[in-house]
Amino acid sequence: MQYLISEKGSHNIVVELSGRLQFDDHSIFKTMLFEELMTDTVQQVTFNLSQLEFIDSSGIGMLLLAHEKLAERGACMNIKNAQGQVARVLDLTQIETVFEK
Amino acid sequence: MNTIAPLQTSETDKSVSGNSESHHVAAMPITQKYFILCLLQSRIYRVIDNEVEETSEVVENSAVELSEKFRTLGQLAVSQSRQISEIVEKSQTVQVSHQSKGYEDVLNEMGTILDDMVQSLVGFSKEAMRLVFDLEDVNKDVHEMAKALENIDNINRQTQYLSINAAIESRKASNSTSGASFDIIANEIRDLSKDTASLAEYVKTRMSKTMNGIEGTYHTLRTIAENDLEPQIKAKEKIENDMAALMNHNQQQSEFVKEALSANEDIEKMIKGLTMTMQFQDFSKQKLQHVSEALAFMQDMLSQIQQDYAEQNNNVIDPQTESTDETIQELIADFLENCSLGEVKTKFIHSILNDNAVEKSHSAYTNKQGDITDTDDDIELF
Repeated sequence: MQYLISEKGSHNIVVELSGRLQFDDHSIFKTMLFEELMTDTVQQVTFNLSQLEFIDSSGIGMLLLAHEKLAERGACMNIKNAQGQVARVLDLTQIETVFEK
Repeated sequence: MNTIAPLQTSETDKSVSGNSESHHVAAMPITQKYFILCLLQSRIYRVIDNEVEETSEVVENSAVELSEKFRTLGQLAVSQSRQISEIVEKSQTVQVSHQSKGYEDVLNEMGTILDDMVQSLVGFSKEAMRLVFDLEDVNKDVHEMAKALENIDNINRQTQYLSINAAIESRKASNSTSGASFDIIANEIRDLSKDTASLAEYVKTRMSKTMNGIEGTYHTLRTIAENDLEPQIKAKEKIENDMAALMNHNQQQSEFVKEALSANEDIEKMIKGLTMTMQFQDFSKQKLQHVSEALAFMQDMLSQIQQDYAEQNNNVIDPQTESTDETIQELIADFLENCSLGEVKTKFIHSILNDNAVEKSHSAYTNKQGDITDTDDDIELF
């Protein structure tokens, strides 16, 4: 998995994920989450999944954990532009409804 | 009864037209011709009578057979309609655990159960990743502690060296006045002691963090491991029940459809039978054609005799005299006494009196609504 953060340091952060989000990416995802997203000023984090090709159950778990950790800081999180297999998995797991809450 | 030798026919006698009458017959006196005609007519009438009787019998039997078959066909159609109604009615509901439920409801229920199971799996995934994140931290802490322990080892080694040195110097100091060396050594040992204390504090902090991490991991593992499977068990049982009900429903529907198909096959056979029975009309038509040809032949013969009679009497006597009309009316009156069909009666009288061809009528044989008026006789059943 690769990621690109735009508007870093602002209240609204956009993270573009690309490649594949699966178990082996847990270290890089955790580092991104705790060191770059969970800032003192963050209010909203948006994950742009348009370039993400694949996600498995561990990837879903990571996204849910990110949502939980950000919520503990009072920040919102959402995802957008999922395509292909990623869109089908998100539809099956209905996690977008969790992020909307 | 007078008998005559059978008429011998030749090629020239084959035509029923009077123009091709044989020489033998042409030379006969008219009375003899008429006598022969009467005999011939008598034979023809017997044949016609036989043909008509046969035709009547065939028509009657066929009508009865048709009637039976139509009745059976009607029953089969009713039965099939009932079966199809049952199929349609039962296709809307499924029997699940002795309860009647809508087909759509059952499918929606199964969909909900599957959604819930997916949500459980998603929950597992989240906790599993939390465990992985926690274990990563624990792993780091353990590595740090290992480093710290290594440093403690180094300090211990140095402390030992210093101790040994101190012992050696102490022995030397007892023989001289250089007490300063002991101070240096004492300072070194003090510094080492501070480092050791600080390191110990560091290790203590790390140990605490590691223990917290392990405890968190323990709780996460517990959450994953001790998940009550009762909802999953119930979900599985529910799905199995629903699937069994759907299969049973499908089986029943198949049986209903088979029965309906079987009724359909019976109807097909019945219709084939009806089609074959309807062929009686072909038989009847041929018979009646024979009758028609025989009557045409007789008409020609009578026309010829009428012509001969007129010629022989130099056309003095006009056959269309009042007495002839009266005779005809008497004959007809006798005939009509035995005739039961009202419509036929009317048209027949009309045709004879006016010497017209009988108007063809089908109103007694069809069900066309527009052809029957109030002034018509009631349709008489055969």
